[in-house]
Amino acid sequence: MNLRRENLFRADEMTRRRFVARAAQTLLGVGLLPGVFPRLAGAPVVAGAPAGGGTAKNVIYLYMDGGMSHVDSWDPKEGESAGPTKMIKTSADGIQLGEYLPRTAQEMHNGALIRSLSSNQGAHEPGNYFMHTSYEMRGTISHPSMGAWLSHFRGPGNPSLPASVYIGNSSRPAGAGFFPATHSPLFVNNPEAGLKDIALQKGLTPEAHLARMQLAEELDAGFVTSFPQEKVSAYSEIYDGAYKMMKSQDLEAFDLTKEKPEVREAYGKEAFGQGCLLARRLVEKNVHFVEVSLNGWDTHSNNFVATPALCEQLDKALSALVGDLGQRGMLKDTLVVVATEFGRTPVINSNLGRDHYPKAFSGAMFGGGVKGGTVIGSTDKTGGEVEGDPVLLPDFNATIAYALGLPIQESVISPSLRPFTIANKGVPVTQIFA
Amino acid sequence: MSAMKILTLIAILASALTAPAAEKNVSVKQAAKAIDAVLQADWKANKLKGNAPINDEVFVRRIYLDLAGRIPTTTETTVFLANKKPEKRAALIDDLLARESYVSNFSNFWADILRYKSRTNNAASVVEASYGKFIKDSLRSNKPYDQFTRELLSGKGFAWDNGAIGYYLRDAGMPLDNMAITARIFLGTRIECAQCHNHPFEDWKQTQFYSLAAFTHSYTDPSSAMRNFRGEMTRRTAEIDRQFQAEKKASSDKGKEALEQKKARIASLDNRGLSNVIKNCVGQLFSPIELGRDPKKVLKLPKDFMEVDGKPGDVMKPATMMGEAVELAPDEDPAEAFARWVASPKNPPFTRVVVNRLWGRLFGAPNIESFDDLKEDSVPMVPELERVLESLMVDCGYDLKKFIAVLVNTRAYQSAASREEFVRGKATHFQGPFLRRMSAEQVWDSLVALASHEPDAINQKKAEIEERRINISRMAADAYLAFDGAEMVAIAQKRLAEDVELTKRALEIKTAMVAAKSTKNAALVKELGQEEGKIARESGQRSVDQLILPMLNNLAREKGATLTVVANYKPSGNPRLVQPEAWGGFHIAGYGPLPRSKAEMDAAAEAEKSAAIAMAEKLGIPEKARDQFSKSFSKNRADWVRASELESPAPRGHFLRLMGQSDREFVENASTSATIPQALVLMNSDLVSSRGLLAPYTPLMLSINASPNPEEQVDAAYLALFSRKPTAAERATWAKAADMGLRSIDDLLYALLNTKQFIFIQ
Repeated sequence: MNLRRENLFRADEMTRRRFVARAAQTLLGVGLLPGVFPRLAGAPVVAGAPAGGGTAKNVIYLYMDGGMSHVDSWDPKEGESAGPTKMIKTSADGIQLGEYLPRTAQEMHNGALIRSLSSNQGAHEPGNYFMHTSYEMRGTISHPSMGAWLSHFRGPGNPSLPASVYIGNSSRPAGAGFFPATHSPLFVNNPEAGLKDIALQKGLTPEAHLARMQLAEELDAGFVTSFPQEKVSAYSEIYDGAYKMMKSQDLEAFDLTKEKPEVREAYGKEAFGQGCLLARRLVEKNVHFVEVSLNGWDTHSNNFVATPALCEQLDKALSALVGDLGQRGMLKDTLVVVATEFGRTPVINSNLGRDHYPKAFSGAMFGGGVKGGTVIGSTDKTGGEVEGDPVLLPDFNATIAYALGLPIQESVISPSLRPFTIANKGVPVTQIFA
Repeated sequence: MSAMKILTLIAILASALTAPAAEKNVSVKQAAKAIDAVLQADWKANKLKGNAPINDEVFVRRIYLDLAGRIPTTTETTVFLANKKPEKRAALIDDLLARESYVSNFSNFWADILRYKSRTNNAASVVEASYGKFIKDSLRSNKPYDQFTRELLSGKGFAWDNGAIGYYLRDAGMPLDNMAITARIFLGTRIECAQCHNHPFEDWKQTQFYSLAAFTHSYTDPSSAMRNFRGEMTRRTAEIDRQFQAEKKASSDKGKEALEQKKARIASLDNRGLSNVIKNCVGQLFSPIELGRDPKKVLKLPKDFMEVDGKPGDVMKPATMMGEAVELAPDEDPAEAFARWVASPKNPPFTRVVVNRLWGRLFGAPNIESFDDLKEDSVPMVPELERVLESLMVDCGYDLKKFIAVLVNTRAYQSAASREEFVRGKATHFQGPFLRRMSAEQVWDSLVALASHEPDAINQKKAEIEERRINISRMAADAYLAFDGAEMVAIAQKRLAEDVELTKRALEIKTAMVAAKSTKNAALVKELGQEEGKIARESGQRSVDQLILPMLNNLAREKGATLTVVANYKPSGNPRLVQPEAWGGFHIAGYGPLPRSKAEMDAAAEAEKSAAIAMAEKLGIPEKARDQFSKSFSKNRADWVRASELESPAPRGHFLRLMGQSDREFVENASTSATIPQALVLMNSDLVSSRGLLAPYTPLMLSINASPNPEEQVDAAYLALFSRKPTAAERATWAKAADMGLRSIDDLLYALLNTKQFIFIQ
């Protein structure tokens, strides 16, 4: 591509990240930013209803951090690769799963598997980054995650809540990338703790608080008059936004005590299970993208102790989530994705573990218009080679974007004047949809 | 010629040879006047006027924030305002530039630019600790900026000898990205597009990018500490090869049998197994700790190279694509030539970038719009100003403190902030500085100044931990370098043989664990886990006794010192880390101080308590409250630490991050935008409460409670937060607030700390 600078729409007003950030940036609600990021002239803008195929409005993205073993879960084998893992039948004809996912097996008629994922990034940080952004990690630019892309094209679904939420403990989760901070996900470390700093200080009544803030505004009057600038007024706007958020009924989405104990039990008591429950509650309040992360899959040793334990957490939460969404009539609108950065070696090492294996691994999708009981691609009898065409990670992400009806081919120009697309030219696997 | 004259001549010649730039004796006063003259001429030509001069109250708050990185304390403000000397502003500037708070402030500035992280995944924490020290030491000694740059771009050696290697190791494994970042930081040129294809807008070709990257491509981790081990393995492999050659010669089957023998001998030498034994003994201590050069390493065009002026696999010779060409002498280190080329007054972008960074920092907007994306046609806002500033920097010999002193001594700097904001793309004539929001670090450090009695204190605990870490690594490296390679290999072989037995047992236990897990026998799984841990610990302990201890004893002998065991040393509980942890349990003189014993730590705690009580006396705290003050003093010291003394970046969720501190992943990634979490943390967290800033013995509250008179308390609040008295209107507003039920000084403080004017620099 040989873009000449003059051809770019409003090139002289092209802004750097800092200038854009200086405009009234708020995390929630105040001011969507259409038109700040110029698009290539002539490219269509897709908005509103999905473009056919997928029916999803929401994505719940379950990320298995560390490299989830595919032959012990989604793509079970017989023979040496299997080790002690057995395979079990599922509610979908012809599909079998590893024995550690019995409840998920009962939901397989609502789900699809992609057994031909393939990547060239075998280390954690680059692999994680590539899976989340479809681009290779660089030291010179940060790429947006799917939640940020969704936020950029559609804005937040609920004006009092963030456009996307991340629930987990990753030290470097994918965020807004080169988009303004508005499109950053809200980070929730502990799903049971609720939102930080959302309640007034102990002992401070709402009336006293309001009075204090009014006083602050009055004492600021001179300053605001002397400096009628956007960067100053932005601070009034965030305080307004903060009140809105504090008073919002929708915030009770973060209060898990509002759920029946049996429901909380069904999802599983650990942070991941409760995080999936929180994700459902957020999606019910129109938060369109929630990621929940489960760490610990990097089983270089003791794979057959650790992986079953992690699968147990995933199994409970995933099956509860899919069942729950189904009961509430939300499954068609919500795409549940299970992703990881790479699989694990079919060959078992001397520590009874499996090592990194990006060449062939699996992902799963439930709901969101997916054709239940579908399997895309396959691996050979060891689980080491993809048979036929691989599904690359950009293709996987393009599939998610397709489900949401996002404009996969539209180029967006970053503040450093480079063009990017949602899935780095990945091709969606449309056969996965009904 | 007299001896005196000869000596003088020699001295002059010597200084001419060593002085990097033509440093002239710059008078700060004259240089400031010159800048003011340029701006005044520009205003006249454009029919503009400079903004009004600022009074001492506005000046003291601004200058402390810009030089010390925080608001002044009440005492500092009072002292300055009461000072009647005519040159007091210039004197305060000199004073602030000489203080440790300058180092704290500007280490944040450089951490942002260099993306300094105190913890990364790849480098041993020794490298980060040394790099952080290097940056601060360079600021403290006011190292000239060109020298600082040259050291960063060509640093080699062990981390403890040269912390500057942290610059290159920041991008370990991504050397091309490192070069793109170097071009951006030091030359204000964004060439990263050309890393993958010819640049779409500028003239940079991908081949030119690669030619530039070739200058630093021969950097490598030499792993010098392992050279005795490697030397011995090389010797033995060569011996096996000699045997093979001899046997082949004497054979009747063309050497087939001999080849099999050679293969068997190589296998039984088990280089990999032995390396693992050695590596397990040092773990993260050696990963990596050193930067060196391998002249044989070359940079080739990548496999997917598609442009017309080269082929994939072409070897790229180092060459510059702008400014002067660089001629490399035959054995010259290209990185050093590159560093000299970059950091030179003969390379105008080098001076241009730093000048604009500093001007932009102090005036709220750079004179050239995008200082990290300079183009041929970039036009400065005030061209003559640019010329004067660049000459000034060169004349100062890249002395940053002097340059900054000149800028803040100008009439232009000491003017009111402009009413209008800076708009990119619109011309400005710097009639005054622009209004700036404080950086995240300036906000936090200002809160620290309100809450802590020693706001500029160094984080002693962190410094000690880092120091110890560096010393342990150094001791381990020296131990390896001093130990005979053959002996090392012999011990490793013995260890390996012993471990085979232990590994067998471990595998049996792991298999049993799998079985136990499938029968859901939790108790058995736990028991087996403990067994497993015991075996790992046993193996580790044997390595300590058979390899680490002999090496340390050998080192101690060489140094003529004794090996001491550190009392109350607590290794990590992880059974797999016995060996690398073990090093921390030993000490040899010459490797830093012995870690403090329990008695010493108790004594230190007592001393701190006494110091706290003494401070309580000094502050006039009544005797019955002194004990409580002393307790809160220790906690206060731990909680309220300046940004430069915390991890870089601060942990996610920390106030600093919420206020926009850079995540240090990308160059200058900090933000001063308003976000809702900022409002939430200021209103609802413990910060602005009696559990935080409003706790009884903070400097803020002590200054408020110094007088029981409500009027004087309002004065004290304004003095502490804004370095001035309240206006009549502000007093009236507060008086009226009683109608809303607001009568306590806490109400006023809460309101003031949530105003916009608190976090903006006027």
